[in-house]
Amino acid sequence: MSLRALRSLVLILSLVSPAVAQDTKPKPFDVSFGPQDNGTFGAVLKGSQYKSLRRSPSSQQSGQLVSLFAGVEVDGSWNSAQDAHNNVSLALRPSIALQTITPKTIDGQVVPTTAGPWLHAFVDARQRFGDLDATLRVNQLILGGGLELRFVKFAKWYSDAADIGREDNPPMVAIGYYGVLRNHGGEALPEDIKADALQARFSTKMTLPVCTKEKRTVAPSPNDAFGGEETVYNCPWGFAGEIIGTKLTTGPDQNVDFKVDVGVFYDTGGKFKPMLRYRTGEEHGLEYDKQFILGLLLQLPI
Amino acid sequence: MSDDLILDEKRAVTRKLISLRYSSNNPAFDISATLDEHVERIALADFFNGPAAAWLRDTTRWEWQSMDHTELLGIETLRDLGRVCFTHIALKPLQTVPGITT
Repeated sequence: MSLRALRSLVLILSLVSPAVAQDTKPKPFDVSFGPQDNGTFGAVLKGSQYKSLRRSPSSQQSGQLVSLFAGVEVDGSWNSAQDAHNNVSLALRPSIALQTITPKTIDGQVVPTTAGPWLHAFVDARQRFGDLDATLRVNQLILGGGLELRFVKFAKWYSDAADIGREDNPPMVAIGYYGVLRNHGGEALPEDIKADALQARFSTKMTLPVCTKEKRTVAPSPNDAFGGEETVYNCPWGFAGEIIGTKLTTGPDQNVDFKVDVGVFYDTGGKFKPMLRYRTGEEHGLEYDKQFILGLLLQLPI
Repeated sequence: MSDDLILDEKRAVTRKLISLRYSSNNPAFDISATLDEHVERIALADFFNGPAAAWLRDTTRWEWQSMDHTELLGIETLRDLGRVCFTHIALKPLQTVPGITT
């Protein structure tokens, strides 16, 4: 298919009515694809799937509630250019989370309350493949771990202050240390590809306060715990951003490298979401081509 | 007690249970972003299965039946969460009194 035909297809898909049938379950994996500013075609695949490891959590009415779980994560990007730095990583992540159980007095009764998990600690075993150039390919096993701090109180505050009728994901800061266990690329691999690294990540996904409201009445149903009256907010604009800083702790390169992945999207309510996405930088020795994609975000049915 | 009154009480208990995590009273309040990550769904399920279930058992005549975190996939509003939680709440079994037979 020619690039012109692909651009036409993307344009046609962008005109899909938001009234198309919605699959409301979020999918663990998603891909964004579209024409890039340099005339080539690009795609990004990202996602994860997890399982709980604990059948009976503690019944404590205060303090820190511990959750144990494990999962897999995938992150990859592809570009049709001949000299593109295509890459993908697969990770296994056993994890632990903490949420604060706070007793509060409501209507004269002491009840346990929570704002969600504020800390998430994990071990990360990652296999990654990437193209350094036309002849050199990286194949590594990386082991690491880290902590993720989630600002749950900010999310609650923003929800009230912005009047968006929802609670967004809290912004989070993750700090991790990664060591390269095995390399399959021979001595030709650059030192910064093989080095151990300290990494910090800041990520956020926010609903922008550009909203309309509608009051309506819903027909009653047997399993419905709420009354019929409700106020529906429609806030289609959103921002998602991730900045990763990596400092190698071995080898000659002592600089801090950054990878940036940011985008503004418009939620039509359908499977395709028009978005403007920018991704560039370097992470743990792997360079990501600068990608500025104006296209569609599609959630995969995986 | 009539079935309607029991149903109303169950709905009230469900709303109270949800308010332990979300303070909004608007059934259309969008909570999808707080449940779109594995860690959030697992943590909420553990909260309901742990501290919330103990509170329900110790202070009301209702009990909580264990929830799997995957049941929280696709939940978008408090009303959606209410429908899921409603199916996990049941009246405690009647207690028999020792020495008395019917």
